[in-house]
Amino acid sequence: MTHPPPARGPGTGRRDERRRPPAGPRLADGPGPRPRRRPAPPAGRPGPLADGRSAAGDRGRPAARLAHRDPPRRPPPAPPRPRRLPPRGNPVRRLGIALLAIVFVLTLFAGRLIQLQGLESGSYRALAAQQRDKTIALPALRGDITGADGQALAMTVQTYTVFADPVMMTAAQQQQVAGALAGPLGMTAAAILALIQHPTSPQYVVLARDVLAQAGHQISALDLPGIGLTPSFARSYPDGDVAANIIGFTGTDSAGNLVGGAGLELADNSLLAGRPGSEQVQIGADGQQIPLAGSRDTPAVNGSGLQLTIVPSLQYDAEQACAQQVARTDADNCTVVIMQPQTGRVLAMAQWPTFNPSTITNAAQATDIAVQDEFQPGSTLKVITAAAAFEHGGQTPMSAYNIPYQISEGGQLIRDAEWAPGERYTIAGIIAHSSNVGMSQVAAHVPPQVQYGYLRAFGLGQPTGIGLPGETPGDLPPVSQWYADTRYTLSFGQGVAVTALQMASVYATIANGGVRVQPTLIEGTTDSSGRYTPAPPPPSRRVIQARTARELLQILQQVPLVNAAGGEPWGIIPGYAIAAKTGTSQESNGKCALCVYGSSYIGMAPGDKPQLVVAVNVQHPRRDGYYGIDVAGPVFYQVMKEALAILKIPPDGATPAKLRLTAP
Amino acid sequence: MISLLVISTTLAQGSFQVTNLQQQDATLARQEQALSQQVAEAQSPALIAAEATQLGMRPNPELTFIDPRTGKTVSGKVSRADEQISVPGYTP
Repeated sequence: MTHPPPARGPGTGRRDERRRPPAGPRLADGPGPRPRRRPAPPAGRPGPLADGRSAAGDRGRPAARLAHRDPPRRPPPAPPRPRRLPPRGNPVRRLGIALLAIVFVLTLFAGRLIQLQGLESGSYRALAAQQRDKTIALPALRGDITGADGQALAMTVQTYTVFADPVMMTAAQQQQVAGALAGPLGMTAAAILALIQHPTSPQYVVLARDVLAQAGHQISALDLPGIGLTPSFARSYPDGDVAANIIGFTGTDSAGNLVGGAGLELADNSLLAGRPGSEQVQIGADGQQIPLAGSRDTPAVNGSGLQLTIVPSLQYDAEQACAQQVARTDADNCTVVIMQPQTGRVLAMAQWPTFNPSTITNAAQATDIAVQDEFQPGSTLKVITAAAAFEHGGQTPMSAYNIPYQISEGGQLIRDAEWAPGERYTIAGIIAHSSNVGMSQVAAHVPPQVQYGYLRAFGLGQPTGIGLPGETPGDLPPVSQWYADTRYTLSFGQGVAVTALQMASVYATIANGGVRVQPTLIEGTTDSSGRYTPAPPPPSRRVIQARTARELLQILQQVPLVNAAGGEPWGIIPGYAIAAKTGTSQESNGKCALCVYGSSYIGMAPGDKPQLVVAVNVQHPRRDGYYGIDVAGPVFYQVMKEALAILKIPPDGATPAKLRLTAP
Repeated sequence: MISLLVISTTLAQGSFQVTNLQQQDATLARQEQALSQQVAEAQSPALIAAEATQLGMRPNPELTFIDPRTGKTVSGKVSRADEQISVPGYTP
């Protein structure tokens, strides 16, 4: 690399001589290696003379080369010559400079080496690993929701997102691709073509999301240029809107996972969702996994399945009955709650209007009316104050009361819907004929605190514990906030707000001999490995004595008879003794006072050991009457009969108890 | 060296096989899923009710049970409520 020392002058010279072409043509030649090899001739000397073998000439070469790249073309003027000579003559210094330069460069190399291998090694290793390592997300499969009979109400299906890369196809191919995709995607070819021609980003446009597996298969089989599929998961509700209010709906979070948005999908989201896992593998250039390269797996834990107590066919029947009645009476809504009193199982909780879980996107559209809407119950609440009067007011079902046209209690005029002069009822008669005047007199035997305690014990003013999101506790004001007339109006179900499920639970408590079993929707869960675990039995507690419950049941068995005598046979199903209560409440809305009616009918069958409670509430009917028996009665009849048939509950053959309703 | 080559070739072969089988598994899982969804949809009460109505079936207004011990049927009467419901054009 360095130039030969001057001592080797002659040898070098010879070698130079050998390589050098003849002098003459050399001058005529163009540039090339020559200028480098040719020593810089001192000014004024002709070219050929510069080839002299003198040590000076040799020595002068490197120095001259450093100074001028092409000396012969433009010979330097004469004066500078003596000035340039001294550096040529100092090899030690030249060597030193060269060595310094080398050391400097090597230091740079070493520094860079340390930088790459030492200081920044971590980040480079990470970059390399990134290229080679691949983390495969292992999504957890969201658990299914099934009905009591195993029928799937919500299931997770694999779907595809179909996307196009417009750059990958020619204009003619775009037409062709759009035409081929129209069928499987269920879109028009024009719509697909428009998407391809106006992509969201130059090389990517989503043509369709949530494309079902079959259609996705079809598309990938077509092998179209520039069309790709990414797998995704979607929630499918095979029964459509059946039980939608209970199940809720799902949305997709930013990571593409399904998340519950309402109902049980929301309440039991973590149970259903499971835990997504990941797999870390090393891949080759072609995407093939490198064997034995080691992989770190975090296995995904699939979500658990939920089995509900809901009987889908019963739920469907109840929804249909509700839908018909809402249409007929132009009501705001209708709910039907069917409960098994001994177990607290909710067999159906239907409502109309309802919604389609596949199409809605926010919780405001997914109201579960039976637990989220409150209303004034009306006369269906009479049983609670009656129970308190039997147990703490010294009254019996046969205690007799005169029923005047109206009474004034606590500044409130109380009247009955129907009245005849000279009425004198037993408490059984007061409930069977639903006399507010009579009930107010019964309430006078019950201290307010006791009355409040009974209302609370039956579950009013607190969530039922069914475990659905957004449940309202209703509104039962404490005694300290009561007005002078509150104890009387409460006795016939005004001045308190309840939910349809709370009322069903009140009657289930009576049907179960006075023991309240917390309503439940969950029959059991199936974990990811398929092991089924029955749900623990819901908590229960005694609310009223068994005797009181029996007395109430016998009184309630009179109601269908009284109604039938009045031309409303909705509580009569031959072969079954049915206990029931009607309710008609009045509420005010912003526009008018006490103009909104709530019509309800709650019944139990069969006989003295009811296996079913059916609670119907139709809110704000605007046509064809408003009494509970008129509006809610037909829904009860239809649903109860279907329920007895579907659940195969044979007639008990029991005839209703005979109770004296009119006192002498 | 040769045995090393053999080993890694075998392993690569296995890896390809695994990939193939995984694809097959995924395809079959998709099929199973599509079919079970079809079954679930076919089981939906709304669909069954609609198809039964189309075949001319109607819900039985009579609630009748047979007692297997005595061979007698219980109930079977149409209540007054049904007479009221049966009025043409009336939907409860």
